[in-house]
Amino acid sequence: MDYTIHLLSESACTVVWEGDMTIGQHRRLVGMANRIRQEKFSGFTDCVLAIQSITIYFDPWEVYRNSGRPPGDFVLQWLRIMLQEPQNNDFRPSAKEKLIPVCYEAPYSPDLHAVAVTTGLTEEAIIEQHAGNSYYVFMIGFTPGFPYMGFLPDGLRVPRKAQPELKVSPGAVGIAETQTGIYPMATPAGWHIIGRTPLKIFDPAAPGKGMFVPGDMVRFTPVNAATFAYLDQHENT
Amino acid sequence: MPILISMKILNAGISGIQDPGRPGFRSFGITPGGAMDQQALRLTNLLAANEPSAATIEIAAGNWAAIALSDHLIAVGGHNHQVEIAGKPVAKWHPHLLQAGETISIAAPSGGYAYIAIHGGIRCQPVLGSRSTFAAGGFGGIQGRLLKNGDLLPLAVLSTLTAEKIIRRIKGPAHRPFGLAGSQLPAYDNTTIRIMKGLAFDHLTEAAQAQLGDNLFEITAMTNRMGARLKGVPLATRIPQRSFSTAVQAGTIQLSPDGQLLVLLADAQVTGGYPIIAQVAEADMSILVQKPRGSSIRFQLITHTIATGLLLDASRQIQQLQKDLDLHLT
Repeated sequence: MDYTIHLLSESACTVVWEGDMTIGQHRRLVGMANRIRQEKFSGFTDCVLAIQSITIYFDPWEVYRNSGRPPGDFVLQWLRIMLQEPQNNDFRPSAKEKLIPVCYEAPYSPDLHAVAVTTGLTEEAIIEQHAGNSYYVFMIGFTPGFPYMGFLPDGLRVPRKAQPELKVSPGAVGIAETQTGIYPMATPAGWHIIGRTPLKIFDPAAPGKGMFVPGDMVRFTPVNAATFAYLDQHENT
Repeated sequence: MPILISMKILNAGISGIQDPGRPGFRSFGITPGGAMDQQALRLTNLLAANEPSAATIEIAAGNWAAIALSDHLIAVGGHNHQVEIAGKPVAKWHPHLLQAGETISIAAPSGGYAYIAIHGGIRCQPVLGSRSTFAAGGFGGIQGRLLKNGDLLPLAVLSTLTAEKIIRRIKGPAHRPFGLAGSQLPAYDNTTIRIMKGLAFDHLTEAAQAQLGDNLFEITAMTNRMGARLKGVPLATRIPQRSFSTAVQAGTIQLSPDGQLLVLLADAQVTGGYPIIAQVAEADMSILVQKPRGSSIRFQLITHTIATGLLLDASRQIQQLQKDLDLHLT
């Protein structure tokens, strides 16, 4: 795939791949991001994988001190060499799927009816399709721990909400366009909420341990309200 | 090192604990956060004989006051802020001795961020290598939230050689005040903010590219630690915009669908979907974040090379300042 490299700032550099990203192609990006983290240069601080891109962050002063070169130039060249090397260590997905319990019943599915109206599907068919697929985690973003997963079955694709919800419950499962995701915290939400997981997706007491990493495969398992209550890890629910 | 509860918040306004932030956790969706005005953070820490990474109190709005329960060497930095100790006005950007029982109060009639550095730093529990409050995520600082009235701050009981020298200097019979002034401080009165072209800069029409450089943009009331929404002439694009989430950072300027600009700030989300028009030079971030709501700024395009040069110069300058202060104190 074709890509372009550019500087985002004095301390970051982004590679953008052109065209629509398939899951197979994205797995190569996961492999690339892992290699970047392993072979990091002196002054490297972070690497962010997104759906079409990888961004490397660095401390320009450290890079300058260690390389004696303009930091942006050094990192651009380092990255170009990295991208040209044959990709013999593509990311190999785990055979396991992470099973996430989701309650699709009221009051945990406030937008299920609206999605049924938009798609022409029954609520049961929406649940069956959403839970009948496994999803690939492309990236973590938006808020701490939010997984962007794809792809939804064609019939479930609905545009984002025109007016975002001001606050959703932690664990709210949303869909929009080709993707599904889980809101880890009570934040505004532009996706349609069709269920809620009782699992704590992001724990402020252990913020460095996310439930998902890019490359994971995820499957949703419908549970009823009683099971939700039994499994509920959220406070104040 | 012993830690004691040695300052009580009387009036929290909108304030939290901030240090340089927690880089390295963006892949968990965790923003680096940290002080909005990183230069003020470094300078106030320097005056309080702290490491540059020490945690300070960042005041975002409101009148702020606290009472000291033991003696502390402190320094306050900020823009347009008024500082009083025991009811008497004192200078910003100078070290002061705050004695047990004395009240320190800070007012910001026109907004902006103030930093209180206390010798030894605020000793709350670090989370992922930083004590910075990230209120939206519920972690960092004091119990993952902003400060509130009655909070007791854990402070270190220590005094380094440098701190002892500063205190002797403050208490000395021939009181020779020392502190920072003029060119040692960020050029807060500048209204021109330097920017670099972003990936989607070329998506702007030629007219819009010119407008970005020629027009004034107002900092609106929709401004907080996450970002600042600007108001100006709507900028038009040549090609239709598609949503495309990539990594962003503090200083990234996005074009919102209505043609207005959104500047991301310290607590910005790690990825964003709007087109990236430009990036604010890091050397000018301190100036930008101190601009009051309702004021206007102008943008000036510079290259990445120049912006990097400004940043490296700023690093050298602060290292020099550290050496000068050490010399000054002997």
